[in-house]
Amino acid sequence: MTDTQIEEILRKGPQPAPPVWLLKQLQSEITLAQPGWRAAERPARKRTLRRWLPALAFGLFLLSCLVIVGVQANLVGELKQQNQQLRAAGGELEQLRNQQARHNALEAEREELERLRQESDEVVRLRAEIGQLRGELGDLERLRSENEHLKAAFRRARASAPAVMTAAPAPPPKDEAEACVNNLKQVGLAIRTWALDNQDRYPTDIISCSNELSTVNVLICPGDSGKQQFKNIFWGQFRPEMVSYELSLSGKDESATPEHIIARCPIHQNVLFSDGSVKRGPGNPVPQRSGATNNSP
Amino acid sequence: MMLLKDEAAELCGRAQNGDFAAASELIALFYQRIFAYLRRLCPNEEDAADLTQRTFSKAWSSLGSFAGRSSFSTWLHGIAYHVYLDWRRSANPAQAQSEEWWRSRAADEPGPDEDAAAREAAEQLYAWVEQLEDGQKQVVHLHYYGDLSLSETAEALGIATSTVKYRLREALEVLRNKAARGTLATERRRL
Repeated sequence: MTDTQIEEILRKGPQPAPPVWLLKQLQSEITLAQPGWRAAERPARKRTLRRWLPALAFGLFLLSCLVIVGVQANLVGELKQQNQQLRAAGGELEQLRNQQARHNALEAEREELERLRQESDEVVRLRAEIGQLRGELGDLERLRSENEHLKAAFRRARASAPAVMTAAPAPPPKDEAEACVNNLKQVGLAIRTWALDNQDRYPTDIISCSNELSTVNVLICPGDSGKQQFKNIFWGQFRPEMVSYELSLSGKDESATPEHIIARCPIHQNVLFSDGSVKRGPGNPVPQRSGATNNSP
Repeated sequence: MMLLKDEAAELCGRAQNGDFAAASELIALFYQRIFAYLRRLCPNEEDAADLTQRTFSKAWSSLGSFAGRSSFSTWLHGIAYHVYLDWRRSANPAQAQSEEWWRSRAADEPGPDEDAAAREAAEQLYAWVEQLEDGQKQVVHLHYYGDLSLSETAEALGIATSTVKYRLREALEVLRNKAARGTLATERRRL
């Protein structure tokens, strides 16, 4: 059996007849809706919407894509712009680095110049000092020559009147004698202070009173030119033979014998007693001052 | 057929405007075809008549939404098909027409040649149609029995025309194979 035969047979398929009552029944059940545009319009709208829904969805999708593409393009543009700015900033950075290097070099040169200027000022100052020293050297030469002249004059005068010169030796300067008295007073005060701390016993050597004496300078008589070199040394280096004064320290309690001599200046003849008083030498009178007491410590 | 379409379209337009006479005429035009379609699917006449009533009832209630894109006949067959599906799902799932009924139908309406062999072949063919898959059976019913075109069948079933063609081809192939096997068996019986 061929397809055509099959189709032919099928087209003549059974057509069962409906029951006779069906037509009337169907006609009696007709329920038509009242005519009105709203009832028909609403489904038409729905159909229109349904018909256009795929297109609307696709359009919406396309619009979304366009928006996304637009946003991305905008972002890409911004990124490109930032990239260009950063590149430009990179170029400026290189330029700034060069400028900084130049600035550092100039700063170094400026410091070098400043140093040279200071050295130049120092040189100028030293030159001025050299000039001053040269001037002083000239004065010194002049004083030396004057001194030579005076010495020559003195020798001539001495040759002409030797007796006068030997009979009247020049007394030491009064300031030195006064300073010597002050030194002895300070020494006496230091010894008495030391004695107060040591059951009224006096020290056996003056070095023991280093805590009571402010400096070794008071142990050097200003008139003792041979020991002036010890004036500025420290207590640790100071030795008893460096003292200008002749000391007589027994290590005993001397409060009962105030006339006992503790120290004596061989140059000014000033004498320090155990009670702290100082007797001036013959060429060292008491200075005339109002309210001043003689020989008091 | 064209005249019928035009007449149906005009009657439908009038019925949409509330013309009962037009609706009555529409029923007279189509109720036999719809009943026949449903009767071929349903096991008894009562069910077919009931489904025909439901089909027209739905048609009247949905008449406002009929826009005329398809013919009224197609639209009505589509409604009938869905009414049948609903009914089959709810009441009589997978209950098919009996072979005896088809044989009786073929006997009632014999083939053009009045040949007993041809009648027998038709009976057998109708019975084989009922054994087809549901999709194939529906397109055979609507296209061949119901005399709908391919596009109308596709529209009534809500599928593509190409699908209808494909199902028809498959159905014909199945029927051809069965017919070949049936012929061979008959020859053997004769021998």
